[in-house]
Amino acid sequence: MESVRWRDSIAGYLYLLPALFVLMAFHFIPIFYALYISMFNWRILQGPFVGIANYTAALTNPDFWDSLKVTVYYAGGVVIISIVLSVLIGYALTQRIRGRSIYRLVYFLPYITPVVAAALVFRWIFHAQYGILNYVLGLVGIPAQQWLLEPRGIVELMLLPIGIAPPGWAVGPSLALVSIIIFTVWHSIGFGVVVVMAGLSNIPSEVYDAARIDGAGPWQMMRRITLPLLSPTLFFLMVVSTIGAFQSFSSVYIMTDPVHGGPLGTTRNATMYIFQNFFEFTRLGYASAVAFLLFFVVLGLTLLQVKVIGPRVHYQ
Amino acid sequence: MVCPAPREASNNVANVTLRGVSKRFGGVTAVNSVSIDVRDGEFMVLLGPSGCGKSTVLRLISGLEDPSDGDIAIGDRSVKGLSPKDRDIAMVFQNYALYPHMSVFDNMAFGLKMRKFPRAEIDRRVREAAELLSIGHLLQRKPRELSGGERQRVAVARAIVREPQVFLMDEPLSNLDAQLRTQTRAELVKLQRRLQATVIYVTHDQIEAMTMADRVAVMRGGVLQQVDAPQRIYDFPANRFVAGFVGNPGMNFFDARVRADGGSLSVDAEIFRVPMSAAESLEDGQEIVVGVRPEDIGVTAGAAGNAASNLFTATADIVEPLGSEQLVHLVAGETRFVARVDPRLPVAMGDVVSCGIKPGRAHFFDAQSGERISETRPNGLPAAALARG
Amino acid sequence: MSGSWMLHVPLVIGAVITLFPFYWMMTTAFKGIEEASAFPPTFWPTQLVWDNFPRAWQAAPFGRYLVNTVFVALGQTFCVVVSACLAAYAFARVPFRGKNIVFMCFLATMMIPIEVLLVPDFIILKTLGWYDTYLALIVPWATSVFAIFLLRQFFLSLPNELWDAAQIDGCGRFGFLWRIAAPMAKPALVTVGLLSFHGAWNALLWPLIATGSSEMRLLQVGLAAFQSDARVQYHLWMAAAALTMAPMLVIFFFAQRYFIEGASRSGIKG
Repeated sequence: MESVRWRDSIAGYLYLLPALFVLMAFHFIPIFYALYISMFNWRILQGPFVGIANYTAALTNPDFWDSLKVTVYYAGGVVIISIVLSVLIGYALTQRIRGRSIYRLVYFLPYITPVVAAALVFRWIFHAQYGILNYVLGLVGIPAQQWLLEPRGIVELMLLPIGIAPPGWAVGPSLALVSIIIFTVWHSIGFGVVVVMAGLSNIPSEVYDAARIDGAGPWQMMRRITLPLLSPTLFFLMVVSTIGAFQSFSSVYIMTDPVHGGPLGTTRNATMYIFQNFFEFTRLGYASAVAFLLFFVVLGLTLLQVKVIGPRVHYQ
Repeated sequence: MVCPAPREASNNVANVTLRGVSKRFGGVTAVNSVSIDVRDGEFMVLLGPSGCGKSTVLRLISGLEDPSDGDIAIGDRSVKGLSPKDRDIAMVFQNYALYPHMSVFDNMAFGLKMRKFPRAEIDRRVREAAELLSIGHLLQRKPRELSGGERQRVAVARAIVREPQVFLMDEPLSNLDAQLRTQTRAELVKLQRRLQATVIYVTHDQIEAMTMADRVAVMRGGVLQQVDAPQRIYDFPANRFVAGFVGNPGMNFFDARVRADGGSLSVDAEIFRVPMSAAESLEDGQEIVVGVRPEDIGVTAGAAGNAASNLFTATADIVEPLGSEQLVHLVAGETRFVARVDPRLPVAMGDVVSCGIKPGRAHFFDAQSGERISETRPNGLPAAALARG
Repeated sequence: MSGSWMLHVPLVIGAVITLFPFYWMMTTAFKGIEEASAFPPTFWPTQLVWDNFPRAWQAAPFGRYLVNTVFVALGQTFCVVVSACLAAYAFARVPFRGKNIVFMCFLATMMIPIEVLLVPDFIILKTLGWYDTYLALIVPWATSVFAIFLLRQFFLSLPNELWDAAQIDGCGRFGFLWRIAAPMAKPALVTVGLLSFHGAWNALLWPLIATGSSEMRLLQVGLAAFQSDARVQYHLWMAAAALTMAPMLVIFFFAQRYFIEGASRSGIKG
């Protein structure tokens, strides 16, 4: 019997070989290589060993912290707005209404489009001078905005009419960043809607019948039955969206071209910061260090979500 | 905290009345003008094949659906327009419909919490119901940790705590394995008697119907076929469908014609002839279906003698010994039928036997409509007074 | 039913907002330069200009970009489907030592943010001499753990009796995969293939890093470069964007349910 197990084991690994090779060579080992690179002053060629100098440089560089702040604003905005909208739309689409699959198709459509092309279109929509958005807002009395060129924070802008100037830390993400957030929500909403619909369909309809007989009104139904039973799906969306938002690049690259940091660097997220250091300044070692720091932040954030919110998720 | 009246002011008569209730879904009529009176404290079973509308009737009573036509009253009070929670009913679902994310205790308490019962009252009722169904030790568990039988008990307990006027049960035993089903059947009936509750119970299983019901309402294609006590449904089925649906193995049916010889009527099924005295007028040559239950066919070894006797010859095709009896599948000419036979009778495949229909045990149905043709008793009165609704 | 109208109104508004960018892209793509930059903007071109599409197409070597992208996308798709199918089959139906640990490691790689891989993979490519070649664009993405996850789920759902019967019929493990499991997995394989193609078509960051010359550019990179080059010619921007979107939209139109299925399944965790 042992020989059968050996044969199976060898067979198993043979099947894995192609995938294993790719993952090892380009996904797994490179992590350690990146760690190695990060400890050198690496420009185009490998330079002298510098230990943790790149890390300390990053941690003491306000540009790094700014990029992290931008990323957090971005992730927070995208994740929260997407999930809320996905639940609302997804819930609406699981009611017995006609044309449900057409709606689903429409909402999913943006997700299919290449980010670059779609971002280009939105850049045109957000155009400060000729953009349609300013025109439409003008029709309802809202003054034209600079959108992707606007470095001022959204909180600051909203308080402007009342004449309050919030302190520096409270100005919120720049309007430019908010524009990119709006774009990302538009682009990825379909995914959330479909996932929420799948999660809702997993709730047996008998449970709703029982709740109706037990006397639950629509609000209680939502609060005590639907949302708890949807919580695994929402948890999944939250974790996955956060991880995705921290790796976002294309939208920023396109919508803030050619100054990829955006107005006053307010759209330079962590990925862009790493990219610029790597691609434009060829500081490979430094870029690697920053990438690792980002990795730890994402890891920490995910663990935080799992530990804090995980236990409150109701699994069936 | 103000303690609300736990039950709406009722006259404590928990009867349920349906008058001409219909339900249409698009072009499909699921329930067609059904009228039933369920008495207070009665165990009424809605029996029928899948798709016959029995579950829909239950949902209409519960308020989960609204009827297209007709009226429903609970406790002599029309429930038209009332939402399920205001009808003072409780329901046990086929798949139990337990809230997966709540403990057993919370599952049972949910309905009371929604009605703003005080904590102490909820606690008392939940514990009492749990005691009654022997699930007290499971109160803190989640549904996914329970076995099928335990989940079913929780579903029943959840209905009990509400102390409703009427219990509605939608095939609650169908997901249990056979042995558990038998055991739980008896327990449910005992529970009902103890609580003196009105129960409306839906099933496709005629054994459940026969063993549990005070009365059975047989449905088919949305139409009520017959409402009667189980034994009467068995002995005096209102039409061919009911006759064939209840009883296992099912009733044997023979195509036949009426023969009017002078003053007396008989029915000629080609392989046999039986006399009948119909309460209605029949034409000579009229097509009829004769129904005979397997236990009403007598079988003896050896071919039948002369044609004068009422016995006829048949060949045994399949013999199924069950221990307490034998089921013998017989063939006579082109006709196939089944008879219940004493286990000691030596019958084997291919044997020629003689069969006879026990007198007075044949049922007669109109060939076109399937309706029962009632016979007169020797004293001239109709044989069966059928209760409809 | 008044209730359903309450749902329809916001849904329709949402749908209009969602579709508006497409509408706006197309109308701008048919405008001349003056009308495109006119303010207030016109909601429909006063004069349809058909010229923008060929002009945009010729303004940059989009033909070459297209060829590159199709080649890379197909190559990547093929590799992903094959490698994921084999790996998923092994994880689902071949008992081998350390299977669960290895699977966990595979899943763990999904957690790695792409930023960490940029620099080391770039250096590896350069060292291998793959920089600015198709190999650099395809090989690092020649497998997908998500695809493995999806296919594994499918293979696990096959009844065990099927494998028993196949063994009695004389089928080996690979034969079972080739003749029975994979054919049965067609919908899942199509989903995996489409998602992989979609990913390759849309990619920007990695192609930006892995290629330098304009001959090796992919569509999205080309579009990004075009944006810079074609400065204020918004009508050309929109035409170019429409052109790069079109193939993906066509594919989606015919294969909707696979995309939507793929997205739904990702939310159903084991």
